[in-house]
Amino acid sequence: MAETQSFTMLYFASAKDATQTDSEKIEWSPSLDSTKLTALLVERHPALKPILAISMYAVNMEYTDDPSWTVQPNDEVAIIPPVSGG
Amino acid sequence: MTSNHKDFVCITSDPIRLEAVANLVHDPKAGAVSTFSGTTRDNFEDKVVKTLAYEAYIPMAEKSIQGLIDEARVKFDIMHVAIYHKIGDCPVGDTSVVIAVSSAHRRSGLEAVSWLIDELKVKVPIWKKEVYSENTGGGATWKANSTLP
Repeated sequence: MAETQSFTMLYFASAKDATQTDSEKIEWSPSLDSTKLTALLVERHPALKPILAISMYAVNMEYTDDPSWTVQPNDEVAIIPPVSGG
Repeated sequence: MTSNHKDFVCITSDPIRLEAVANLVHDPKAGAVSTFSGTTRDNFEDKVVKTLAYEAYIPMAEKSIQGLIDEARVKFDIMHVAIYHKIGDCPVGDTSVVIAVSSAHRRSGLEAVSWLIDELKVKVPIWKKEVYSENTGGGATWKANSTLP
């Protein structure tokens, strides 16, 4: 039996307010692309739905722009709501 | 080529002083130190802002600011660069961000500072929360910068 693998989700700003946590470990599964990840996160945290519609994902501290991207075991994935620094 | 040029990137909960950040980039070969200082406003439309707070994805914000500095060095003829951004509570009127760039001549430094703050505002994972005065309806909002610099 394969050992369970996981990845880490990070939540900031409005995403943190919606999930009431700043991070969590989620069990990894293959072929988890951004569409499937969004569906999985909305299922866990329905309040994230409107935020994910306007946010980007960062994977291991880089914005994702590759449409074929899928989550890998041990990835650190962050929801990046519209930024407002400065 | 840029081996003796220094970068200072800092995300801090301490107050930021413009002069202290500007001093970091001084250089005997620099004819200009160009700076931008961002301060927090006390109003949004018809609401009075009571308090503000910044939050950052700190390691990614630092990496992202460093990336902007690297890009700026390719675009502009500049020497040292310092970028400080506040996180945590930031009272109205306080400095939230300082960018300081030294350069041999003023134009490249001024252009680099302008480019850096525009890019920082659309790319770096930092968020501002405004809490409004009860007298103007109360509530709080996570702000969003325009995506067009």
